[in-house]
Formats: sequence, C-alpha cells, structure tokens
Amino acid sequence: MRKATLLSLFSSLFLLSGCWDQTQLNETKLVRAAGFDYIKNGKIKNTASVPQSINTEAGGVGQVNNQVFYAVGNTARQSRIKLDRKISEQVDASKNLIVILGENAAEHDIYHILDVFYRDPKSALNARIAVAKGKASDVISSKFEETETTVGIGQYLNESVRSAEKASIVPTENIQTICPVMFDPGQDFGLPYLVPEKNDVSVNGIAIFHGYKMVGKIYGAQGVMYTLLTGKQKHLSMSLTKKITDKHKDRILNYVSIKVKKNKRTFNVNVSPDDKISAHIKLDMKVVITEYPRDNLTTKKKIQNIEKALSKRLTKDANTILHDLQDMNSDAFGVGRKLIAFHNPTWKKLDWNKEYPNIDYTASVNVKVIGHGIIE
Amino acid sequence: MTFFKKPRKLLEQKNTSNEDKIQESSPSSQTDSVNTSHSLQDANSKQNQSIDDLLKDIEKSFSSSEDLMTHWIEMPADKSRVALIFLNSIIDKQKLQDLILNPLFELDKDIDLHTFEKVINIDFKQQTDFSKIQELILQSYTLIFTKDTTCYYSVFTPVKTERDIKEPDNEAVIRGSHEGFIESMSTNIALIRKRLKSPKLVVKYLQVGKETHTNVAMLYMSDIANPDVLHEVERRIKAIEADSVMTPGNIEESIEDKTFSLFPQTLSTERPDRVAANLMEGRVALLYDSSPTVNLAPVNFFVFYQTPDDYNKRWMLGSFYRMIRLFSFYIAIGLPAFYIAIVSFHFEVIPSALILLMKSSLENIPYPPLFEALVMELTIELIREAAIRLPTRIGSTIAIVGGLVIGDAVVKAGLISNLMIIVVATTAIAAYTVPSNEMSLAVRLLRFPFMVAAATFGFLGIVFGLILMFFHLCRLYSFGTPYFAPLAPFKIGDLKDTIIRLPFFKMNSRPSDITPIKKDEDNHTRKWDKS
Repeated sequence: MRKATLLSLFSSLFLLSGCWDQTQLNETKLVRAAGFDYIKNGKIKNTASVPQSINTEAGGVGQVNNQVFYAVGNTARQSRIKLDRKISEQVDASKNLIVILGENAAEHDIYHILDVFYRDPKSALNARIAVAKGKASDVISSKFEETETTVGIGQYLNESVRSAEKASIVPTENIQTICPVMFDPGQDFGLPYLVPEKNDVSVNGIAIFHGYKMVGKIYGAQGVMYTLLTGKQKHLSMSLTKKITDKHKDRILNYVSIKVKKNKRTFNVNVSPDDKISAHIKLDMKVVITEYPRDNLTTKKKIQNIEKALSKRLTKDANTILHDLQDMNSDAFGVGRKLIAFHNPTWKKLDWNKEYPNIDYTASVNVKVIGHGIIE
Repeated sequence: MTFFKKPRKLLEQKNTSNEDKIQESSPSSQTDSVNTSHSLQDANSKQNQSIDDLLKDIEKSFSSSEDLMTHWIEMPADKSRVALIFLNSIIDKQKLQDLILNPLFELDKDIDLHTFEKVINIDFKQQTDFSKIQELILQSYTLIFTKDTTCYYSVFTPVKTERDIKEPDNEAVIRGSHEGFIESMSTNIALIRKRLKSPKLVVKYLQVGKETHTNVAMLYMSDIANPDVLHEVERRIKAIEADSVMTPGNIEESIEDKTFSLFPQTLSTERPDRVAANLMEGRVALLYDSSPTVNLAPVNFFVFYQTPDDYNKRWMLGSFYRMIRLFSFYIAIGLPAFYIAIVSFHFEVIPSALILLMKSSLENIPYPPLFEALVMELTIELIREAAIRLPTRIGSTIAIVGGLVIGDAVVKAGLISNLMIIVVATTAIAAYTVPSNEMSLAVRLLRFPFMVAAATFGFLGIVFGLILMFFHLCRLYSFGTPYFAPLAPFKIGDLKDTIIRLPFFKMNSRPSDITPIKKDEDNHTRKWDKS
C-alpha cells in the first residue's frame, strides 16, 4: 500500500511542468558573429550574423545563406532581446565565434558591453574578440569575397583572426582570457584590430587597451614584436622580415627573413632605494633564416654579422613598442603586476596610472641563428 | 554374460508367416474388442491370463494404434512362443535386432526362458508390475512376453533423436572449441567431463515439475564451489512446485533473486568450454533435460562480457576487445539519449565546426528528437524481430529492405535526420557486441527509459538515469553474491579478469565474489622463465 502510494505520488511528478524547457537545435537561430557599436544617443546597436544553410538533397552543409540583423537598445541585453523579436526562431549566442567591437565602442568602457557575456552561463566565453576600424556593423554586414564559399561571416572572421594569431601578428585572446586582465590594475591587454577593405578584412594590428578602454594601436609587423615581448614561447610560423643594412642598391638585398624557433623572455622589474622603478625585458631568440637573397651564408662570421645586425634592429623595434605603450599608458606586459607581487610597499604608495609613463622601461633582444634552410 | 560374435539376419524373413498372422488377426481383434471393455488396469489382476489375451488388452489400450507392433518368435527348445511388443515409431530397430533377436538366436537350442537375463545386456530387466506396461511402451521400451505370465521382460531400445554436436549459432568463436551443447543431458555432461577430467566434478540430479518430471543436473567442483552457494541453489530448485517446468527459462525465473530486474542473474550458455571455465571458478552449472542451454550461477555483471575468445587472443588484444565491449554497453544504453540531450538541451557542447552541419541536417525535421529516435529504434527492433522469424533465404532481403531502403528513404523523405540514422545504427551494432543474448536484450530495453529521461531533463536526466541504474546494479545479488562485483564492493585484485584480461600467469586467485572455498588457482605457467 505504502509502495503504491509512493509510486503514484512519484509518477504524478511527470505531469508537472519543469523549470526549464527544451531548446531544440532546429528551432534556434545561431548567432555566429556579433558586433557592438555605440550610436549617437548613447544607445547600443547590436549586429548579428546568422548563417542559414540551404538544405541540399544529400544533406550536409551546402551553401550558406548569410543573414544579418540589427537591433538598437539601451543595453547589450536589451538590444539582443529586440534582435530576437526580429528573427523568426529563438536567437542563441552560445555558439558565437567572434565578438567585434566598433572603434567607438572600444574607446568607451568595453565591460559595459561584455557584462552580458560573463553573466550568462550559456554564452560562448571562448569566442574571439576583436576591434574593428570604424563600425562593427560594417564589418559584419559587408559581403566579402571569401564568405561566399565559407560558412558565414562568423567563421570567416574567426579564421582570419586565428591565422593572424598563428602568425603571431596578434596575441591570442578570447572573451574569457581578457576578463581577469581587464580587472587587474597592474596589467592591460591588446586585441586584434580588423580593418575592412573592399573585398576582405585584414587583421592589421593590435588595439591596445588600458583598463576597460582602448587607448591606441600598434600596426602591422610591429605586432609580431609585441607578441614576442609578451613572452610567447614559440610558434612555428612566427616570422619577421627585417632590413639589416642600407649598403646595397638593390632594395631586396638589404633584407633578411627569419623564423623564430625559440623565444625566451627575462623580465626584470627593479625598484631603486629612492623608489625609482625600472623595468627591463630581455629576449633570447633562436631563429632560422628563411630568406636571405644575398646568399653565401658560408662563414660563421657572416652569420655573426647578421645576428648582430638583427639584434640591433630588433632591440630598436622593441624599445619603440615599449615607448609607444608608455605613451598610451597601457601596461600590456604587466610591469604593475610584478610590482604588486614583488614590491608591494612601493606599489601601494604610487599612483600607477601617473607613474607608468615615466618609468625606465627598456628592452634588449639577442638573436642567435640556429639554421639557414637547406642551402647555405 | 555370453559374448555373441555372429550377427543374425533380421527376424522378418524367418517369421513372415507369423507377421502375416498378426496383420490378419488385428482387424478381427479390433472388431472383437468393440464390445468388451477391458482396461489395462484390470490386466494386473488378471495377470495369469494367456499371452494372446494380454496382447489384445494392450492393443486395445492403445486404441489399436497402427505403430504398435507385435512380433512372435518360436523358441527352438520347447517350441513355445515369445511375443515382442513395441511402438514402432519410437524404437530403434537396429537396437532391437542387436540386443534381443541376435542373442536369442545365437543361443539357439540352449535357450531357456529363465536364461534371458544372462543373455541380454544391462538394459534388460525382468518386470512383474503389469500396470506399468503402457508407460514402458511409451518410453520406447520393447516388452517381451513369454508363456510364463507372472512376469515379462523389458529392454530399453530408444531411437536416437539427438542432433549432432555443433557450434552454437549465437555464441560462435573464432578460435577455440567449436562444440556446443545439444538436447541430451547425458551428452552435455559428457562434454563437460571431457574438459574437466577430475573426480572433484560432482553431478547431482534433481527433478522438478509434478507432471513433466523435468530432470535438472547440478554440476560443481566439490573442492572449489562454496557449499553455502550449492545449498542455496539446491534449496531454491527443490522449492519449485509446479505442474510443468518446460524450459530453462521457467527454472531461471524461479530461482533468480530478483525477477523484477532487467539484468539476467544467471548466465545462459551453450558452450561446454565456457561452462568448464566457470565451474573452475567455483560456479554451479544447471543442465536441463532436452535443452542445450546451461545456466551458470552465481554470476556478476562482467561475466556477461567475457567470451572464450578473450582467452585465445594475446592478452593485450583480449583486454582491448573486452574494453570495447564494456564501452559498447554505454553506447548501447546511452548514445541515443546523449544525442537527444544534445540537440534538444545542450547544443552549446557541439564543436563549432560541427554545429552548422548538425543544424542543417536537422533543420527540416518535423518531429522532436525523442519521437524521431523512438520511431527509428522501434523500427530496428522490428527488423530484428522479423529477421529471427524469417527463413534465412528471405532474411537477407529483409536486411536490405529494412536497413537500406527504409534508412535511405526515411532520410530522403525528410522524416528522420541522417544523424539520427547514424546514431541508431551505431547503437544497434553496439547492443549486439554483448556476448550474452540476455544481457544484449536487457541493454536494448534499457535505452528507452534513458531516451525519455534525456528528452525531459537533458544531461541531468541521463545522470539521474545512470545513478538509478547503478543503484540497482549495486543492490542486486546473485545467490548471495554481489552482482556488480568487483566494482561494488571494490576489489582491485579481481579486476584482472573483468575490465581487462591479464596474462594467465597473473591469474593466480579465483574471483572472490563467488566465494570459492579454494581461493588459490595454480596458473604458474611460466616457471621456466624464472630459472
């Protein structure tokens, strides 16, 4: 009897409605790229790319129809809710690949926009995040040549940034990795900077942040130096082409291309007795020469000359970046973090935002050639 | 006993006249007997009546069935007549010739009715109970009546109806013995004894079923099997009170610990090598009359995932395939549920590169995934059930129609997504990798509750389902031994032949969950290596 009562009570539970419900995959629209811009009155414009695959007879992924939707709201969440009203099925951002911030949005406080990502347990925290030149909506809604054949703008942008990361032009960051750095008073970060061109998007540099705000940019090949200075250990396709001499009339003969095989960073922050802060980054690189049109790398002396010229050139580059960063007041390599950890009394005394641009901040690069390809 | 060298010719040629007589007389006796209402029960009281009267009575009691044959032989010594009576359909005529007629004629003139017992072999018995005549005839005995009407003789001459010893279809192995049990209990015991030539192997006969008198043989190793377990098995079998016990399933159901469980609690097998190996671990084997199935008890969950093949492979391969099989348990119960949970609750766990592929295949499916899965799973079960019943020649046609045509058409029609077909097919294959048919059936049924749980609560539902299932497995006992051993209770030493199979020289103790009285197992097969 007792058993029957329990059983009937238990089975009646099945009649109750649950506190959650299904979200069927085939009844959702997946946002694969999201863009945020501030428009004139301070409202947020949310742009979302929703790829819709056109079903083929055999199944599988055939052509992709790229739909782009806009919505304007007071906050990021509100704009997304408004977006949902415009799209036929339920909008889901859990498979988002990339978040693009318009330049004006990045120059405001980016946390205001990203808050919605950190709060929602279903959001894609491994999505990449990048800053676009101009408006994010332009990047997402433009018809690029490559998106015709790949699976949507989200995938295209994501792959572009990823290949840039592989080439070490930009640091590897996603929504989650920038979060602790963003809140850290002793460290800042950089994000990929996208420039939309006519038929494609180029990852053109690094947007440098201070706190929650974007404060400047580092362009082009300098990005590789920036990535090297972050202490990235090694990457197969981290390559540089550098001018090492002016002697030759033929422009091409003045250059050498190298590939960094190994990169060792020694980062020292010192505080002198009179509270003067100095920081020094020393890079020991092992490189392989991938291009040297002048040829004849036969003697050790020649190689040593190249090593010397390269070290000199790269040291100069590194110092330029450090100066730029100081000018932008962005502590991207975390001098402040070191101060907090090892010189805490000093850290407590000073106002880092004012102090940082004035510290003695230098770098030196030591290049060692360990290979020169299969010819000499 | 006399030894006979020369075989004699068949009786028929000598006694044709007699036989004719019988055939002539039989219709007349039939007409005679219409009014007389003799029954064989009366025969006992009238045991002193003449042979002819007795035979008439017998014929009448068999309603003059035409396969009841009577043969008359004339004794050379005293010219007295002897009658042989038997059911033509169930006796072996060659045996009749060899066991009765040839000896009789070999002795020729010396024969005396009372020397019969000397003459005829061990199956020969003198009977005085006339009420048993009918029963004996029905049990393929040939009865011999002489002029001495106080007794008669019976010879067991059964026709051999056993099939050959073949490899069981449902338990085939690649290497190793290809023998399987057949429907004869004595042959089956012989097959086991052939493998365990030990005086410690004990056979104990029991009988169940008030009407069917089904014989059950209990086999065990007296120095290994735990007496408590033996006693428990015997007690449970003896407690069966039923009119008919026809199939091993009846007995299995009567003696298992929990009938309301999906999991089989005795291992059924048709392989003598499997039985022999399990007897050596201390289990009890139950053999039944006219059934090739042997039940082994007590068992644990992992026994159902062992196959004789494992021990004929290199041990690493054996372990690998054992693990594949155990993994298939999870696929078979969980894959459709996992898929349902993913596409209806947690699609954020799908890798980015895969999401559009999955979405596009699901996009135009009109049904919810649970319904989709149920339809396909039931279709597969339908095909399976049909394939068992169908003659083999049509079987392949059904496989094509069922598998290819339905599978392909259902996707093309847009009723079921092609991913679901992959999931269902994988699941079906996984369920068939279980070496035991019962466990395979249990696993196939288990997936349905899991699918419903996944459709209502997603991963949470699957986790709850698994928790309940493991609760049940841990609480289950087989004849007083833990069913989910050696995982619960955990015995690291016993894992050597469950999830993996270690080499033989490492297996020097029997699994402890069966509580064998001799724990040590001598497997020091590589002693040459140590010197």
